[in-house]
Amino acid sequence: MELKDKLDMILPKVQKPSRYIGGELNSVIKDKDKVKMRYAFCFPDTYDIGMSHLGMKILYSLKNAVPEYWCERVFMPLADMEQLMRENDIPLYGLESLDPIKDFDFIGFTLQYELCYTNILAMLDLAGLPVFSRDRKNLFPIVMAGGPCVCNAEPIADFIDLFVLGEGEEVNLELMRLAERYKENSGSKEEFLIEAAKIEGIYVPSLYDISYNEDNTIKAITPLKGAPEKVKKRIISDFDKVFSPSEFVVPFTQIVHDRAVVEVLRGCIRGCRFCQAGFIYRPFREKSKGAIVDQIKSLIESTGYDEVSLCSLSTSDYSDIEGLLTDITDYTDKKGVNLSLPSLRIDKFSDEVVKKIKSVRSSGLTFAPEAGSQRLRNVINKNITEEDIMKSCRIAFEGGYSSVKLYFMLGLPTETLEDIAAIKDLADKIIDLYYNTENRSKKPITISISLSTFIPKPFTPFEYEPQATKEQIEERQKYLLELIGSKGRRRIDVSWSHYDTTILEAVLARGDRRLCNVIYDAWKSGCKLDGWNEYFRFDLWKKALDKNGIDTAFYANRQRPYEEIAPWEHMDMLFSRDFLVRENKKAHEGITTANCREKCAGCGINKCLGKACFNYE
Amino acid sequence: MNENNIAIRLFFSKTGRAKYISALDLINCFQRAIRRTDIPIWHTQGFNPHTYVNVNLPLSLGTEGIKESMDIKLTQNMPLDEVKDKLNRVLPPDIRISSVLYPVKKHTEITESVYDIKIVCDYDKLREFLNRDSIITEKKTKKGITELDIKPYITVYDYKEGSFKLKMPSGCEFTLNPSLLFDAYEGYTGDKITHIDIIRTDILCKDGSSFE
Repeated sequence: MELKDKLDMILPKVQKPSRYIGGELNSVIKDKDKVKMRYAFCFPDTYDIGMSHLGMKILYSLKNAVPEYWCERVFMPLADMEQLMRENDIPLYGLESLDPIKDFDFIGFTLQYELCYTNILAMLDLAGLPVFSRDRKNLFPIVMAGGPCVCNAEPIADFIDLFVLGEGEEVNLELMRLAERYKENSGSKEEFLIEAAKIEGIYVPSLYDISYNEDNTIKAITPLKGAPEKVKKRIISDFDKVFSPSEFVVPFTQIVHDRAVVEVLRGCIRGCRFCQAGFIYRPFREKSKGAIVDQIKSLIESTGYDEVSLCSLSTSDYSDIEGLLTDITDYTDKKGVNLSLPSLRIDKFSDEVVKKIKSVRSSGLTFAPEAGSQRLRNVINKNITEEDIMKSCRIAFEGGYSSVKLYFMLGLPTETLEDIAAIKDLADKIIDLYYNTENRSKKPITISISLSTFIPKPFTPFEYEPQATKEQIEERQKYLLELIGSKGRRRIDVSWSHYDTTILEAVLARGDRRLCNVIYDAWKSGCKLDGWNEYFRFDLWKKALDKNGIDTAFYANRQRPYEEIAPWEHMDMLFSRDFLVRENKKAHEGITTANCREKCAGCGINKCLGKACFNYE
Repeated sequence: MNENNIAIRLFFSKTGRAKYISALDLINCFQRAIRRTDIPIWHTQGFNPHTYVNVNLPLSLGTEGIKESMDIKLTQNMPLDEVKDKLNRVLPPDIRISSVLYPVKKHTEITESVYDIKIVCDYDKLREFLNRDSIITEKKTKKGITELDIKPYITVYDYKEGSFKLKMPSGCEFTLNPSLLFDAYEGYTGDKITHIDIIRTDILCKDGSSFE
């Protein structure tokens, strides 16, 4: 029986079957006999999440723009679908051709968050492939991975043949061209990997030997067979020329971000010390206004979406943001298209632009002060002041808003109970401001405080810091709740993340290769979709950690000396290690660093551009 | 809705991969398709205007249809063939508009659907089953699960081994889903259907004429 026929028998039995069958508008169908390379782009989470991801849309369109390459989409099936697939011998397949991906040339995963690692194993297994790289003897399919987590991919190094470090737009095609040559000459997997490791930005984990000290820290990372000592991150220096898709696959079913998305800039000038994205996506590069507006137009016209959103780490930092918003709204107003602007700082705008943004439908006002006190905000270099928050709130309240969402992290370096109390004080001040604002809405104010737990990440100034323990976090949560009191909870809603997920994320984020077996055992015992609360099984993870003699505190809660060899020591993100140490020291002294546009902090990233990142007067 | 608007009816097929699009998602899909064209579409009035589309008779998930229909409204006249061509250019490949007409009947007049069935199972058992005097099924209603003899409501004709035509009630007042019959078959006989294709080929009104 053909795979398509088998699917017809099971799809009526699953939830939202349209996510398992493809056929959406703008999905790319090619003649498989006429293509030279077939690529399965795997997002290790569900369709609803993966289809919202801009990076996947870019790389999907980019590969399919080459006539002789065919890239298809693959997602993690939910439990009902996975069970029926296994019962009916349906291997994991590409949504475009419905062909099994084990017969493809490439299987590429994108690693957006650490908690997706078990899904990778689940997907390889469902495809009918051995999960360990060493057990896949043939050259094809080549199993690769890219995305932000590659800056420390050691916990999954045993499963993946090669990683892409940095921006994938150019290197993906270079790699496919190399594979094409090996396919014609029937080369071996080992020969191919040795050759691939010579391409800048390609990391082949099997070409590095890791040795350990008795105290479990790393003794040495030794490259083998000509692999580079440091793998250099890839970047696209001319950002206006970077590939942008003019069409998106338009899903039938509702997904998380069901709208057109255009990237406006890459990198971030802020240098918040906890934020991995703010460092690993350096240098800061902008697209021109014209390019952005053109991309919005072609996407709206090819998809029929009635909403477009701008994507970046900090859209407010676009150099001519007012001009950009004016140009965009000229088009979107005329077309009846909504513009949504996540994480925009309205305190920086003129009244005219504020009005324009407000004409956009909006759900509420959101701030991420991350820390309650100015002292702690200086430590983390989050340069938002109480005054900024109050100013934005006043503008918003006068415009009719009556709810404010505030994001904070608990467990930040140097944090004390005083910093926690400051969270409550800030909420109180916002409430006072609301009731003292004339022309405000008649509704009572609601403030939502969301508390996440700080997780130290590689390639940030806090990569040396210990994560707060469960006891510390619970004490601080309890303290805040008591301060607010049951009466206060009527106006102030508080939510927080589960510590068990954050400790696992912390371990995986700064872990080494000895965690590969933990991930394998956790997956074998039934762990998957760990990012979903209803699937997360910390008890099973705990067993897998114990079985392998892994102490979570060693990876998560230990202060790491500056001179210790990190598991990610052989990755070069193009800025200097000295810079991170400098920033770490300044954090402990409570000294802030100016944003990159004001003053160069000397991280060293500008070397890859061959000039300064900004025109300093 | 008494301002200037012109109601038109789109007849289309929903086959292949598109049979897994739910009724709600299908509306979304048409709204987006219309926005990709310059068809002068009428929007609902009110606080949150949206493109008006109305599905005349939803099709259950997993069933194909070749005479499905949907109503939209135009703010000014456009040749109906032009509407058809414009939409076909922007719809997903497995949804094809076959004709665009001005509505003749109201969707409330619909009473029955006709299906083409292709089935692989134990044909002796199937024939025996379809000839039963009564077929008691469990039908889910708002009040819970009730037992219902569906036999009086179904008509089977053009019966050949492995294929037949099936007429069942559908519409605002009373609808029976074909899957009810095939679930009952498996329940009664213990046989397992190894393959089935269900295509809705026509939609009928009270007087037996096609919905148009």
